[in-house]
Amino acid sequence: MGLKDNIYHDTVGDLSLRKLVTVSPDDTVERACALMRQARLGAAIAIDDAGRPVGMFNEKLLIRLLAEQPGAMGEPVRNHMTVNVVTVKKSHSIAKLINIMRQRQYRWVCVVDDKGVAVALTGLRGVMEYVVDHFPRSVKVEPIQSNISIDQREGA
Amino acid sequence: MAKRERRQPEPGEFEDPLSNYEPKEYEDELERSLVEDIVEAVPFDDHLKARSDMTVADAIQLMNDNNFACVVVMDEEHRAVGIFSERDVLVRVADHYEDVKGRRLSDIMTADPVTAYSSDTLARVLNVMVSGGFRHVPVVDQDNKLQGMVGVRKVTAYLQKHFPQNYQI
Repeated sequence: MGLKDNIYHDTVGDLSLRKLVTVSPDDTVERACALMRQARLGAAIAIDDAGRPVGMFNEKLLIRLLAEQPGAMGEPVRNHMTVNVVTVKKSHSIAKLINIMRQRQYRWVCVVDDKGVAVALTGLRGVMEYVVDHFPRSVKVEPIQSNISIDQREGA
Repeated sequence: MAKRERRQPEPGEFEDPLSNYEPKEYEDELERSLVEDIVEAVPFDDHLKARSDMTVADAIQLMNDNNFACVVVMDEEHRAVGIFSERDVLVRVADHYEDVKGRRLSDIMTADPVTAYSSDTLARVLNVMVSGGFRHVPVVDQDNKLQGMVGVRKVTAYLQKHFPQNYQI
């Protein structure tokens, strides 16, 4: 099967999913940022007592906060998070995930189980890693940062 | 696939060195496009530019006002000398904003960003993004002057273009 067919048939569970960074909506933005930094992740999911996602705080919201309310880092995440958390299940196709991210302009999507409990995070980068994994060997071994201009490259 | 018989040239006859060449076969058009098309196939992202003496606070304001995830820091020769991104804000700024908000971008930015040439293939640019963990890659010409920016969002849009129009979620 080609890459396109794989995107239709493979599922979100086949992606390299990110371990969740979770916070309580009552945690401070400062704490959410510290956890994101520690996990090298651009988003934290706010969950309720049952583990279901109720909000998301991400780098874009951090930029807004610093630009508009720089003194608010000590405030609860619930004051600054987005409450529209888009979710997918591991059984959903990668094509569906790509469509969700495109149509709603989201970079991060929360992966939930059948009970709606947040279990992982995925996003644009996960999809790109999947695509790169499917490249033919000859392309995949091309060195990065081989920034040699055309007139310096060897050969014809 | 049956191998073609190669006719031996007569003495003195010109021999085409590519007579045995068989073009690479791909499973589908998406694979072919990724491996063969150059980065210009993906429309460049709009991007914000700044000088290295802009303050961190002004750069954050600029990103917020324009809803952009990063600023490309340029020198006087229009070369990209750094990138200041949302990730830089999270890692180097958020924790002590009051202390760093007045500092120059050159102190905080990611210097000497990995770049791509507009003649590079999409596959290479994706490789650069994934291997380096970058969400945006500046595209430059032979003189290293900035031509545009390729970001993950545009790449995803490009992938989606290869799906049937009636594919609905």
